[in-house]
Amino acid sequence: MAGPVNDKQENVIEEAVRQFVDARWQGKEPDIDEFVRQYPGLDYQIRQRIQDVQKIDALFDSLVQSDESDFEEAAAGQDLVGQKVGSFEIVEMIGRGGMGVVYLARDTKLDRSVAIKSIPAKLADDSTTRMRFHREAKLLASLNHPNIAVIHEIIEQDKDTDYLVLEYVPGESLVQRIAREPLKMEEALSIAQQIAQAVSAAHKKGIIHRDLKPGNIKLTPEGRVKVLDFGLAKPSVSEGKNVEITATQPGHIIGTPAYMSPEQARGKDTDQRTDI
Amino acid sequence: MCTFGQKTQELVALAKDGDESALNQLYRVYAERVRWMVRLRMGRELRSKLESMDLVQDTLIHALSGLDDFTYKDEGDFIRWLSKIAENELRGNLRRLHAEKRDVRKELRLDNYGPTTGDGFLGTLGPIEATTPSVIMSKKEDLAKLEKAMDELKPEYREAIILTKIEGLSYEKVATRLDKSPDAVRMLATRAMVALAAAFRSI
Repeated sequence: MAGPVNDKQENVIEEAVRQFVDARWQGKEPDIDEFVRQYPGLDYQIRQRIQDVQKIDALFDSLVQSDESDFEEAAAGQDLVGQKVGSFEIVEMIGRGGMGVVYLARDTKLDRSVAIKSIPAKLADDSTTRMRFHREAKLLASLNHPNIAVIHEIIEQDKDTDYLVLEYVPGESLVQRIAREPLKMEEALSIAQQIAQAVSAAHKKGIIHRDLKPGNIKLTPEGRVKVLDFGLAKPSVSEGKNVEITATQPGHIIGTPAYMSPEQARGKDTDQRTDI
Repeated sequence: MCTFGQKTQELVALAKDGDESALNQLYRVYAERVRWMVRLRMGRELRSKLESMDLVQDTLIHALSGLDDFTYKDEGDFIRWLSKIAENELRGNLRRLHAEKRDVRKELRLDNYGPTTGDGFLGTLGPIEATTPSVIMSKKEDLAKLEKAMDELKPEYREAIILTKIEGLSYEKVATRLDKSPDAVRMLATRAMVALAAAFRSI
């Protein structure tokens, strides 16, 4: 690591980086090693700045260029919109969780909105995914709590596609709510309390959420909190001993990086503490 | 990357013919990109208002429904066209919001329902929020940093970056727009980039 630079050196660095950028934007491909060699003593800083420029350039490029995975993502699960699953009419895709696509659907029998979760076709034949999916259904059914979205039904449409029919929770997610305006202390406490009650009720049954984050928490217009997406849940090791093996593959990391617990990120076994 | 540009072109053609699923796919591929484009262009003050409304989704849906007016040239052109429409519409919404007296209820309503959509997006968990591993989502943190770095630039540098890197204009076009020589623009744009990189690092 080189020491701090004085104003004169700073000017030299900036002009060198500028020339390099200029050459690149002209379509030339200057060799960075060769280029920095012209500036002994400042080569480290110049290289670093050039790398920053390249990173920013790549960021701008990524905005105007899509790539293959984007289209794959977008294509998966599109086919169901407008179709019927059992007595449910699929209205639109409203999200994509850790393991499935979520649709808004209309229950034509009871004339209400529901959320339907399916496994994307390409994953449907993956037995692990399927097992996790069935587990989610059972786990959810065993949780009867006002702050946890309920499951209405599981539909096995054909031999390799399953759908979970879930309570549709209108309203904002906690993410949207926080982005709108800061929470008042009273409101924040009420939300926190309800989340804690939901999680605690689940923990008492030996169920860990493992992907608890503001995006998975919805606030209904009446001010009730609903915790969504127990899609990553599994019975905890200590209390679920009699339950079959865990559905997540050992060492296979599941969760949202920004909200993961350290043990989760390391792919180790998790218990209730991972939710807190 | 041109093959994916072709994919976009196909989807645009299908969407123009009224293919809903093509439209949805376009939305999913481009929504997050457009959102960032608009944010990067708007600057700090407008952006903070944008955050409290998050109407990008709605405006984008609206922009996509106006595909008939659009002639496809290339992918960059397409996304710039989308972000321009979304931005114009957002600015219009902000003006309207400002014109109506700051009635809390009105703001809530606008926030929840959006002025331009049917009830399709009513209170649902927006697709933007879905946990998708798409490339653009993985760059979220860097883009947020870039956004802040853009705010640090002096106005003429900021403008140079917006015109060359976000709108993708050639030095010649920027020169005409700013009434400068192409060489002067080239100097300005490259200096702006150096300043941007320095700001990016210091954040």
